[in-house]
Amino acid sequence: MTTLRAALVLTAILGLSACSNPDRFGSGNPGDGMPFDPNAPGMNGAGDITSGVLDPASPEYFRQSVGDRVLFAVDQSTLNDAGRAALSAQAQWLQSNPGYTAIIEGHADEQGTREYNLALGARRAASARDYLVSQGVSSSRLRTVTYGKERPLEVCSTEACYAKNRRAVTVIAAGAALS
Amino acid sequence: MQPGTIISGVAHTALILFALFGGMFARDELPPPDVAQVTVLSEEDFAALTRPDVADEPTPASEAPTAALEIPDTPAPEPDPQPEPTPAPEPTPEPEPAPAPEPQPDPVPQPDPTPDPVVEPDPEPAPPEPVPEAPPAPPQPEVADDRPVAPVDVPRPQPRVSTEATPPPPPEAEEAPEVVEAPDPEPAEAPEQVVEDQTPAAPPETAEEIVTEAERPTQLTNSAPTGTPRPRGRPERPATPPRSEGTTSTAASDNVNQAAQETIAGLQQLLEQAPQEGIPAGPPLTAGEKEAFRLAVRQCWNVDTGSQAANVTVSIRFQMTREAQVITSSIRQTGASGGSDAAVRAAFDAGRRAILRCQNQGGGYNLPAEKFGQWQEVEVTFNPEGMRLR
Amino acid sequence: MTLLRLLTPAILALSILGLGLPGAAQAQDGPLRIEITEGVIEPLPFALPTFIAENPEAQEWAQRISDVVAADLTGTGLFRRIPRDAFVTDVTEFTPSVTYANWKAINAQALITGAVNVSGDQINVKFRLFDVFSEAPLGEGLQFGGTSGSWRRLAHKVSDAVYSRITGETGYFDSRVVFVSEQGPKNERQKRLAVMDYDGANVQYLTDSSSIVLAPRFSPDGTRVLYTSYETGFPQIYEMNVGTVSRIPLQVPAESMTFAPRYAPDGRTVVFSASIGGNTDIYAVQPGDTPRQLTNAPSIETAPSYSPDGSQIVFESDRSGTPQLYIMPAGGGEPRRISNGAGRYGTPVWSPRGDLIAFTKQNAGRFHIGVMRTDGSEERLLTASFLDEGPTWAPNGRVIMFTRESAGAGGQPALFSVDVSGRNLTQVNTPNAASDPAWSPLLP
Repeated sequence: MTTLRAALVLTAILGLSACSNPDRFGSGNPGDGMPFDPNAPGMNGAGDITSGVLDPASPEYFRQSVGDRVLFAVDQSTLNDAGRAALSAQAQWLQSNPGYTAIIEGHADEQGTREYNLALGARRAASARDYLVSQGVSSSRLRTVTYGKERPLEVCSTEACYAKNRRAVTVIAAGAALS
Repeated sequence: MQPGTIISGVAHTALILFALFGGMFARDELPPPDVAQVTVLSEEDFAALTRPDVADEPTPASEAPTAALEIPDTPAPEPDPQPEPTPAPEPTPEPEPAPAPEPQPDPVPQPDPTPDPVVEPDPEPAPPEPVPEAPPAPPQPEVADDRPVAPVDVPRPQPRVSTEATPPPPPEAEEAPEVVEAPDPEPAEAPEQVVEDQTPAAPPETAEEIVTEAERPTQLTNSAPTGTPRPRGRPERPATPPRSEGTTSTAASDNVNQAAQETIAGLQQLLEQAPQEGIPAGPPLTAGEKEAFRLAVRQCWNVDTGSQAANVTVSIRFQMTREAQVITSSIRQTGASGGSDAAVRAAFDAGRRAILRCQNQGGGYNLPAEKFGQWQEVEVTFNPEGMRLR
Repeated sequence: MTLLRLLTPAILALSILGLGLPGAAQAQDGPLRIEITEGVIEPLPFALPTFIAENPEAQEWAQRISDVVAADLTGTGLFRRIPRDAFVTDVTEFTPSVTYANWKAINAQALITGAVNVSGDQINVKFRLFDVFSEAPLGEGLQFGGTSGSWRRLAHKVSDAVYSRITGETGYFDSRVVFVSEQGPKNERQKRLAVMDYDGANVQYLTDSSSIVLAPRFSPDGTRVLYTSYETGFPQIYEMNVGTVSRIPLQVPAESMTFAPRYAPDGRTVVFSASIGGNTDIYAVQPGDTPRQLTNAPSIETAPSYSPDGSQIVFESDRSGTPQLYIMPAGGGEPRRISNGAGRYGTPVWSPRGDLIAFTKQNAGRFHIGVMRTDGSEERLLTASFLDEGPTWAPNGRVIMFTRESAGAGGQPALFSVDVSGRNLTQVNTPNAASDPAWSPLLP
């Protein structure tokens, strides 16, 4: 029951802060080195409501320690070695935490038209999803969404930023399998 | 607690509450688009509006158009920004700066160094002195006399800042001068490019307005004796009958109509000249003379390259007086290809403007008088092919 | 007069010749013929004396309407207003005749006179257009009436009429643009749907900023808008009634993310792209029907746009390895590639005239808006910048509006317009940053 309540609150807050939360798209904004910023109420979802910051079963742990994203080359949606390794770790975590589902966001850098980038983001998300499924995660727990170039992580207009923006991010959500 | 913290706390709470509940009712209802009532007003109606005395106009035909376009006024014509009836107490939707009112100074500096076509520093010469009402001019029988009086060839305002410097006397200019025997032939150094007041030119223009058909014969008889010397400052004499007649036309194709209406007058004028001691045909124009003429018209031909009219090649024929002035009423289209009716019309209009504008603002084109027969009638083909967008 | 009569026989003879075969009487065989193949390109100077106020209440409106008409015309880059202080005389009466000489003297090629009267909330505007050098009116005078709230539309109507008579093309001033208004930092943009007049006036918001909205498109009748919203958390196409701001989701395939919608010329069929399982293809749907798949390839197919006759669809596909433009029959079928230059092509939009396709092109690190013929020939790039995209045509196919975004952390999008000739690049004023413009048809 507690879990459910926590999940509800979490969902509510996430929904609420969806448009003002700079961390929503995983920038790890309050300092990437810090596992958690206690001064940002509501900013990190369950962090200040559920149990421990470093609870290995928490989405926070998944995000910070397992690694929630994989990067892609320009205009590509195929996974590289690093990407596959990251997704394998994600798959493991998901399997040991069956209470969670995940939404995989596909993103693109700003070089490209809006429409094409939406399609490209969808490809990237699907690529990550397919790999997770190949690693044993039930596809019913995964859903994909594309943001195209709408939500860059980094805002500069150089390859250094673009490289980080071409990504697929696995966002852990609580609750039963997605329908 | 710091005041800042308190404020921040309150503000955040408000924000969250607002986001939670405020948004639920926030829906900027948009007022229906404004609808304009449009009525076509025929010339007659117009005339009636402005000079109600003209009651005998053939109004029947115009009846229809008037009633015509009553644009549906359907939706609430209330164009008020937020005319939503019900949820009046809707606070501005989000914690967002008031949307519409933001006038945001539009100083937006053009970030792109793209061709900014209009750079010309307003060449309007702003004629210092308004055209003196010179009604006496026209009736004056001895036109020849007042020609010299006026500083005839005073530089007129250069019609356009043309892209290429095309002084009427082009390279081959030497040829032109040699055939000109007019007393005041300053064709070569004609300071056409000089932009300045054209005050002197104005009077004749005014005069021309008032010249009536009746007066013309007199003038012509006078000019006959003078032979072909071509006094250049002479007022342009487009056979423009009182415009009021033309305005009553209801035809959409005004241009054509007008031309048609005035053709008779134009022909008369033309014919009036003819009887005079024959027409000096002279030898054909030299290549140089022809080219000079071509360039003169060309510098006034403004092509709207992005338009459909830019696909139209149009041929325009017209007659000139001995003074190398275009007889406006004689201008007509003799051929066109490459576009819709509207595009052709626009192409014709542009060509006509070029022909009329570049005759030295009433002074006529630079053409050898003794070859009048060669250029009494001209057909110009405006072919924008070379200017098509690539 | 006497002389004239005396010469009647000669006149008669000549008039026959004059009407029939002009010039035949001369030594020359025919008229002097010259051909001109090169002209000048410059704005046509017009004089627009402030419209006359026919009653005291009309004073302010006359001024405002005159200013908007002048701004409309000069905004095209095709016309240039002659400053009033250059006038030889002003116009103090709205009469059917004018003293052309006064306007020739300042080299005005067109003269626009008008009058405004106001009674209650009703404004009436009438105007006349004169071709100064031909010394003739151009077309009939027209009158427009409306409420004071629609005064800008009245002005735009006058501008459209003037523009149309001079250029031979329909106008585009009395039109609107739907777009996305943006605020906030680049990684956290707040986006709202908004509409405005073509010139940036009268901005009104259609949505709040609680979810991302993208790429709205007007219906052919201008009453509805298709757009993509993330309000469910996933991109999904909605159709909104602009008058009531009510909206309904488009009927789309199951388990799909949908975007890039566009109406068919019939105003009913909607073509769009749907991503299913990571693959994006093009679909079309009619109200109450199930969507029909038009492309079926493992590549990305998106950004569809109908030809004005509804028979074909141009779209973007990377089936060749890079995004290029293709045309297929509206019902689906074998596409043929039309883009052949270097670089990547996207967001093709068929011109309302049907003769051109506008597109976004990315090449050598720059973005361009360009146009090409429907067979891919005569490609011309109209703009170049760090990021230009998403062209939309003015209802007359003469002007293209698009999004231009500046680079860097502070980069912001803005709306720009450019003449199809590539001239007259201009920023459209919007209250906030703005993107994804879509032009409405000319309003009724």
